[in-house]
Amino acid sequence: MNMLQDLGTIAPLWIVAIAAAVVLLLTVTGGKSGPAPNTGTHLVMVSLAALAAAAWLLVGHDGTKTAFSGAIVVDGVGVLFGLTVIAGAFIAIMLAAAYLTEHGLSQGEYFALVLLSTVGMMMLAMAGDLLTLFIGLETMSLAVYILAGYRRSNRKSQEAAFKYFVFGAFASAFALFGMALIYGEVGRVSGSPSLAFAAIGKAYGPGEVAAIGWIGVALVFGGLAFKIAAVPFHMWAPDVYEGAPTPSTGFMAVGVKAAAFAGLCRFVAATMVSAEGRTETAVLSIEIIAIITMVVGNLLAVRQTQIKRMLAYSSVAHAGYVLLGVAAFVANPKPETIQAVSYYLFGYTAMTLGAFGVVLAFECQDDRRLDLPISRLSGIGHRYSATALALVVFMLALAGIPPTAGFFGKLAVFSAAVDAGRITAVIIAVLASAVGAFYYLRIIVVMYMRGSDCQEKKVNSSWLAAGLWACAGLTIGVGLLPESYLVFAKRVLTGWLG
Amino acid sequence: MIDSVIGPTHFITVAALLFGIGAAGAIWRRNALMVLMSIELMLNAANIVFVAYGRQYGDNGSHAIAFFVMAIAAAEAAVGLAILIGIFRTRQTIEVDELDALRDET
Repeated sequence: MNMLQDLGTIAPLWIVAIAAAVVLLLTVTGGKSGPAPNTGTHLVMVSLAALAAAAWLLVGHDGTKTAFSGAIVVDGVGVLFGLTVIAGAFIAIMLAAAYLTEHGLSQGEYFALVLLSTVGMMMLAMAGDLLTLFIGLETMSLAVYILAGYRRSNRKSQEAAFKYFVFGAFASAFALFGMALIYGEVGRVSGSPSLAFAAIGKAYGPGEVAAIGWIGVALVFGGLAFKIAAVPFHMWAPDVYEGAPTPSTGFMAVGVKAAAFAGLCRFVAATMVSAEGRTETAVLSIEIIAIITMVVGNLLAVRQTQIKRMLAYSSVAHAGYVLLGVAAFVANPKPETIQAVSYYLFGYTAMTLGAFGVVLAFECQDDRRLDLPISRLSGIGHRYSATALALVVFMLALAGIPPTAGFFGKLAVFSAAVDAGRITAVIIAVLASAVGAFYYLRIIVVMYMRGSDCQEKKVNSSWLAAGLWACAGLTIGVGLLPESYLVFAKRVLTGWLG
Repeated sequence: MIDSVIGPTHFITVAALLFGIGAAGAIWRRNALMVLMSIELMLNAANIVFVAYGRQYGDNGSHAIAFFVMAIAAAEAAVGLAILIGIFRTRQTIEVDELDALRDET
């Protein structure tokens, strides 16, 4: 009976996992012509239906439920970040349907990998102990490594997969070693070693943890900082973003980042928030990483000529803004700060996926030259007005201009940081986002103000159109009605942090 | 009693050394297979720490953790080798330095 209850609690996870298996089965049994050209709307439909069912279960979730002796915790953080990664996967699958059809790539494996990766992301967001966090992290990452190298005979795609894999596995090994040190330190302080966040919180609270325990915390933090592409762990991001197939890039830019931030929130809540006498040091360290991340990300983005590399550095910069929210949370642990962080990431998911959707529509279709220099967008505003208008919305949102989700997300995170008394950091963040506005607006200028010598063909697909509409709708909708999101977030976060 | 001679400190020292060797190998080896093996070394160093602490504090949970880590390491190796095979098919080499199609333009 207990087991059944646990399975009921984690229903969103296994629904998506089973859907992945079903999609794979449909792929190998796909028709008389054999499994090779498995294109088909039914694969997309199964994937989207499973994601929608999981989202529906999460939206209806109430209170805090634990499963498997606390290994999985479905609470406010799990619901909010779980919904964000589901939204990311949902739109990424729509974009991928257009991309894979256009390039004649097989679809079933791709959707199955996206779904399995989503399971890992949700597990990461709902982790109740560090082992679940690690398993979720790896489930998510292993699938995304393959997605990055999905064009497996393409040199750039292969290289992206390899770089992501090596750097990612390296970072995971550091995180795991850090977990082992934390495990031992909890054992030394409390007598029984444990990886559960509750036990870690109790052990780290009274300030008896020795230096080796804090080294462990730093290692785990570094491993998660790699996934969100915070400087100095961002080296992989531009290369991997450029080389990976565009829907994979979009998916890893939003899903991996949101899930890793969920894990980070849980981790800092257990180790840093409660730690007596160490909180100020922790806040300062996170804040410094956040500031370096947003400054470096924005400055390097300005120099880029390839739009995918520019978006990669832009995603580094956005990681910096969200990290500032995490620092504010450690300084002033209130559910409202988590609410701001999750709101930011939800809006970021919509606008970033939208931007990558437009890249997908215009990028060069030749297998040897899969790229899109910014200059090639010139004049697109006159020729493809609807798509160009969508890109304008996404760029304004990324730059943080009202009334988009980007503006209100920045407002929420920055005011949480001001509440926590981190004024200097907020001033630097505002200046950094002013630099950021330059390269986002430059794209709009290129699209409309330059001559219309555009020879580009555009990908025509109803899935792509639907994905772009969904992104634009969310970007503006969540921006115009932040209240509806925040009311929901408040409801699910009630009781979080005791 | 062997316990009085070899304590947790020894295990942790060995694990730290292994981890260091693995990290150094992952950074400086130029052959991608060697990089993969170095990363396995790092994961197993963490396993030794888990099991050593579990033994010291009498917690059998550490054994379960080690098994989970081994399963994950196996999955990781499978994905890594698959990526390497793909690279070898197009480039006929798995030297890390040969992977230079993606970089910043300066």
